Amino acid sequence: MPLPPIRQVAIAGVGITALARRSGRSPLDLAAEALTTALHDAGLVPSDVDGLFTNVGAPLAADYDRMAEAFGLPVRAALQTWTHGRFIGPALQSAVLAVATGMAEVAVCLAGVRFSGAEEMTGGPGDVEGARQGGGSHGELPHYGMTAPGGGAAMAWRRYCDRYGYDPELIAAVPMALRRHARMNPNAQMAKPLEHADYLAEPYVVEPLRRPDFALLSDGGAAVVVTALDRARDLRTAPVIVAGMQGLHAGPDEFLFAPPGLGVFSQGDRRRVERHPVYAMAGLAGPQDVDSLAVYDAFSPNVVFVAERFGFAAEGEGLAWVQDGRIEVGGALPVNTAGGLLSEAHLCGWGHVVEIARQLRGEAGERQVAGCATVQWATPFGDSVIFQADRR
Amino acid sequence: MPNTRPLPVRYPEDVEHLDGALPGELRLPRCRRCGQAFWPAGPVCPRDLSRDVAWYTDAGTGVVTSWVRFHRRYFAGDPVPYVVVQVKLDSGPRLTTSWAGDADPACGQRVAARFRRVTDDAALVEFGPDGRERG
Repeated sequence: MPLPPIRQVAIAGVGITALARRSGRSPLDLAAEALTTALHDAGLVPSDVDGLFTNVGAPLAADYDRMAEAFGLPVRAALQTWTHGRFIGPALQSAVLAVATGMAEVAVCLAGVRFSGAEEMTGGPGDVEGARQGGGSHGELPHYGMTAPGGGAAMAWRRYCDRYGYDPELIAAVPMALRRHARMNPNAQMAKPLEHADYLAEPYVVEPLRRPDFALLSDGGAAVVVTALDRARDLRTAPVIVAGMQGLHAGPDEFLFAPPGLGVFSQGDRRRVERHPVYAMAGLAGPQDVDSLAVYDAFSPNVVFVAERFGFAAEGEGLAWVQDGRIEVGGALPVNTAGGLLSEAHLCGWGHVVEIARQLRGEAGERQVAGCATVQWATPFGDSVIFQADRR
Repeated sequence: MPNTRPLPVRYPEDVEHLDGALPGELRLPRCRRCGQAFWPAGPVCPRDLSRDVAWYTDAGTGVVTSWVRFHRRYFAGDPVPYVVVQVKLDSGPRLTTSWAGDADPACGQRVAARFRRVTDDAALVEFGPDGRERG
């Protein structure tokens, strides 16, 4: 028997907690607050939730089964990926597919994340990625001192700047833009101004990248309620339509923090124009139809690499493209309008999805993108989701 | 868990490479079907999935394609700052190692492999300026 016709899917509610570098709260407590807020936003109750999807688990975050047990959720479709920000797209996409096929009616994406106390996971003795054969997807080789995801990001950045003839410090435009967005987001952590001189005064972590180029490891929780569009239209809040999706890419020419063909780690040296089915699936001609972009900005160069990979900028032109306010609210393509991982919080990307819903519902306050109807989520590793306001 | 730099994990496919460093040889896998050397090591060739993979001793020469400098100390005892380079070997594969030169590396610079003892029974290949180009 074939699968049934798929249903249109929407985000029916979102929730995010207070954010802190060190909260003293448990991942489960953070997840509980995020879930409560999102269910209230949607006008649903815990017994409505029959799908649970997360990209992170213990020890960084709360596991799916503990959350279902502790929050009284009658879950019949669940997914927990291996603990990584990179799987936020696939986790969200799995929730969408579960609802689309009827495996779940109300699927919640949920993460309570506590980086405080788990910092060594991202470089040094607790860095499990560094024990992966061949260096793993961050290119880590701790026996050479090559630890921390930022090492791979810095390696890719030097390669890019050398190949296309840029001063690596031009990357300052990205953290400066995101800091300006954070300063318009009352829930963001980084309220201190970051102008060019401030950026240059910040220390290198892994040269050529400086501290503001690194994600803000944080404690916090976020939740996204996914349900069928027809049902979402009967709920409390205006639905946000999931219009198109494409999956996470992998292979010898892929590196997590570089576009294909940049020539880092196992990549070849030949850049190429890719096909991105996400646009046609959403009924769009291409990136020119996107009003705001949400990038998994674990490191500043990710914004440049997404711009080139998805065709917002041509090969080698992405760093010039992000300059002069183009990616700021009020510019041609506002990026990470809540401040992103760099200046709001590293919640493994869920904060971006919360912000996408707010922008498309017209609830982003001072940082609202005028006429915002289409927002794209995209990562340097190729996955993407396009969201649209419900134009019924 | 020790808080100093670890020794490399001895995955079965990596043992030949790791042990080759002791007598000062850069041992790499090469597919006998397509003739291409590759890295990281694996049980099959990543180009054609052939199991007909043999180890050879590489000349260890190539060029720097990128480099970084760690300023943050992640492991106790590491003398920061230190430099890590990525090298594209003349034979094709790209390797990442610590930098054995005194001056900063430069992208495009010619380099050659050398070998550093880290314990009585472990050595690591690393790259530095190609001596033949000195003076």
